[in-house]
Amino acid sequence: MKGFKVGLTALIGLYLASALQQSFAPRFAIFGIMPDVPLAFVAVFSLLASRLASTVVGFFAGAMQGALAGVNLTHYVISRTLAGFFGGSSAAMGLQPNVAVAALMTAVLTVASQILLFFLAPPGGIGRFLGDTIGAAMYNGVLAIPVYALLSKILAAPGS
Amino acid sequence: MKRGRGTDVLVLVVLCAMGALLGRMQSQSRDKGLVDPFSSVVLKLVNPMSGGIGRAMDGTRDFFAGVFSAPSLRAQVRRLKSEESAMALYQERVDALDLEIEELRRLNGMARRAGQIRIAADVIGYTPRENRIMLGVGSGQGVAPGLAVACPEGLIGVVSTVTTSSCQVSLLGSANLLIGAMTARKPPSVGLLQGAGGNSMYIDFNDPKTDVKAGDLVMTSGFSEKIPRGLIVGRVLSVEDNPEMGQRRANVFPTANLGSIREVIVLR
Repeated sequence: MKGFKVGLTALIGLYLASALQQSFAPRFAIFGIMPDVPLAFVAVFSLLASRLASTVVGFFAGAMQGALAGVNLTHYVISRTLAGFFGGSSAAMGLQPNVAVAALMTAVLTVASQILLFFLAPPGGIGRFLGDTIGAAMYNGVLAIPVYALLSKILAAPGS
Repeated sequence: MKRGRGTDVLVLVVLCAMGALLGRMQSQSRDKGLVDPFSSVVLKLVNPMSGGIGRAMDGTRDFFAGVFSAPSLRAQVRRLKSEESAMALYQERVDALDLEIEELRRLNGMARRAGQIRIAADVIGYTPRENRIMLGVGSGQGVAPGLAVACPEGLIGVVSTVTTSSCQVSLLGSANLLIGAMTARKPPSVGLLQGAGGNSMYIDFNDPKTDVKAGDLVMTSGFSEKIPRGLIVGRVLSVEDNPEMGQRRANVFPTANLGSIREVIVLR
């Protein structure tokens, strides 16, 4: 039952995150900095689910994001799958999920994923890339708070 | 957490390999101006939802903008209507001359000029890191790879891949984009405009004495089957000389704000 609930939550969450990345992110950019909604979802999800489930969710988040972006699908897949894997290892590292940990974990995973993406597909200007990465990490950290509040209620509900 | 770490690592490796495979499929399709089957499914599933959310957000924003600035908007609508009436007379004359030019070209065995048919499109996705936008029109509406995409401020990019109902546009800053361009001087200096990432572009002129200065307007040269001549691209930001290579480089900044465009025209 729990597996089904986790799977369904992942499916709906990924779908909504991808749709929001297309519609919400460009409209709510601050000084040109946009959030990375699928990555924020992967980071928060990985705190509440197993490492295997987080890795698979990271894979699909990367694949969907790469497909929507139209380029670099491989780079997105690898960076997001690794984010899911390492995020899913948080329990093994002794991290207890809460709002602060979710925000911090999301910010750290955003920076790590973007740095990995930087090496896999180097962008034009390093200065702008770094600025965007730090901005996106902060934005994602804030975004992680409502996402965590929602996911923790769904995935940690009694009887699940 | 009873599952071994080894299994998780194996899954990670397999998924990364699958990602590489999907990426390869994507690249092969993109080279042909097409969208791979996986991306096509994702686009078909996600676009209706993202389009709906986007329209709802724009509708809400427009509603409140209307509430707070209704009097000035009404005045603006009245002014635009009178301007439209005046423009209609001018447009009729332009259309008639256009038809005459096309007829003369046909009689002389010349190809049809590009950009005569305009396809209006909504921007339904924006990926700044990849310098791409997605439009809600595709091959079903006559869109094909290589067509120019413009907004009132000028050219913004070129269609790269197409599905039946959507298409991806490489924006001017894309490093893989090459467009024939010229400065708006007499005589014009002609070169190839290339994206340099972000909002940056440059034109390399093979003559180190090319007459180009900061502030010059840059437009398309029209040496292309699909991109019409005279579309504004941007302005020259600075000029650099490379005496060793015998080149002069003009750094160009686009006139259109590429991140805030909501509606565009595809020129066929």
